[in-house]
Amino acid sequence: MPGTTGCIAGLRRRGAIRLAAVAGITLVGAVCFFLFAPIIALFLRSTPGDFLSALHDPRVTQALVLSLETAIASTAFAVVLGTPAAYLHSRSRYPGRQLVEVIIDLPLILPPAVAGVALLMLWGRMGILGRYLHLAGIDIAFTTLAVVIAQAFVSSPLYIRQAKELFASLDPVYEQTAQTLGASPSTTFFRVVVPMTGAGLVSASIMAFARALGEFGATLMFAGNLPGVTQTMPLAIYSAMQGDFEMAITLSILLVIISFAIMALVRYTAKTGGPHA
Amino acid sequence: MLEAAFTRELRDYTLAVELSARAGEIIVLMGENGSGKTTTLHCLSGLLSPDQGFIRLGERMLFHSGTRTNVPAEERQVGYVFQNAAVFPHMTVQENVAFGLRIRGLPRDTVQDRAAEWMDILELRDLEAVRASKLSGGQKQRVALARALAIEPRMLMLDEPFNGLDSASHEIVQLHIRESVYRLRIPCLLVTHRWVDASMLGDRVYSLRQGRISQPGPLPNSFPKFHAYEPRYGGQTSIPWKQ
Repeated sequence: MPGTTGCIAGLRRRGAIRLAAVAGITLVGAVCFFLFAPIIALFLRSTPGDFLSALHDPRVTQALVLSLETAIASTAFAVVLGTPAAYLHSRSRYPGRQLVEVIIDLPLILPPAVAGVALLMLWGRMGILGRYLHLAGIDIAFTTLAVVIAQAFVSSPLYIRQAKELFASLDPVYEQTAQTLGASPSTTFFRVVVPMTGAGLVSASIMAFARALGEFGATLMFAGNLPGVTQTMPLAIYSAMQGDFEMAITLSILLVIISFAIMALVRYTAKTGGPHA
Repeated sequence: MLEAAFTRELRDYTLAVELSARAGEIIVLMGENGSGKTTTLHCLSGLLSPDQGFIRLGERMLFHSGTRTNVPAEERQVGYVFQNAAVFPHMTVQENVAFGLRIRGLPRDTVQDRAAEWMDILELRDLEAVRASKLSGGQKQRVALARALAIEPRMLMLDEPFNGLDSASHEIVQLHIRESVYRLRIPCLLVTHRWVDASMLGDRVYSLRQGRISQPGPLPNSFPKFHAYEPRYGGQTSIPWKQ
């Protein structure tokens, strides 16, 4: 009977849908477990009391302060130089434009350790430029400046890439309007382009900051691991793992908290102010 | 008086324009999409440079390929209303209208007074503090017009200023274009594809086809005409020919 077969087919379909839903939930759950369980495990190894008392350890504060200082400096570098560069790049057509795109993206795919060695080959005491700076009495490698350079090298492309896309998606008619109203290119940039892309630029810079904060490989190779000078939080964790396990856990939890705060901030800026809000 | 004769190489054809517009005159540019109307306005306003030819506004040479004169757009003092109004979404109505005045470094009071005057004229006073992103299409178009006129332009370029307007806004914008051009005694170029607007507002019409401009022609009188009349400011916006 057609009625019965239809009914069975309906039941079968409903069963299939339920099965698909269960499979889907399991899959998502497995992925979440894989990604989030290690973080839970990290928190389970420490008690709030231990964590708070370890926070007063001068080694922790030293690494934290150095990390924040260098990440702020490298992000500032990316924003100050990267914003106008990304704008000019996205608004002009010039020979070799494609090549510039590749060069900007390159540090993003370069393994950090390779980036560190490469920086050393350029700025190190025996490096191509470093040897002349050394003669002039300036040494960059294994200084706090080297930490900033390593961080900027890996994180600024992240910022520039996003800034470039933001500018490219802004209709040039706003700049043209400002121009016909008498605005110079710099006035147009600061009064029209930056405010209209501001929220996106802020979240891009927060992402770059997060990347700089977590930088490890390039810093280790190019700046070394000197407490108070080049030992940022990830390097301090690495050092602590050799002996002081509790310390490593405290530092790790601290970085996780900072990362979560950064993520929350990005989501907040993205929600409160799009380019046309 | 605006006089221009220039060419510019485009991807598919060469734009060759020859036109003139007297002070207080509205010239209509008509033509299909891609016929070069917007490019013509861009060349006249300085957003693009022609390859050859000249553009003269009154005594001032804005562009001359022979003498390599090319006054940049920001110094041409052109009131330009773009196709989608392009109000600055992050500014209020007042900030939009005052933008061109503020960046000229005029005294604060002058900026406020002049912006207020143009907001009154275009019936935007109640919306003064509203963010431009919150406005309707017709309101945005009025803000764009007020902003362009507030700088007391030496010529006016209007690119499809009636796109997407409801009939009430349409009438207000139409009326104010006529009154402002008359009041400021400036040449005006209007790009539109609607014959009604062209014949109600325009004094002469040029048509563009594949970058070639026609001889100017008169407009048909099939629609009631907005003719030059004494402007009456102070909030009244009734359409004269309707009375």
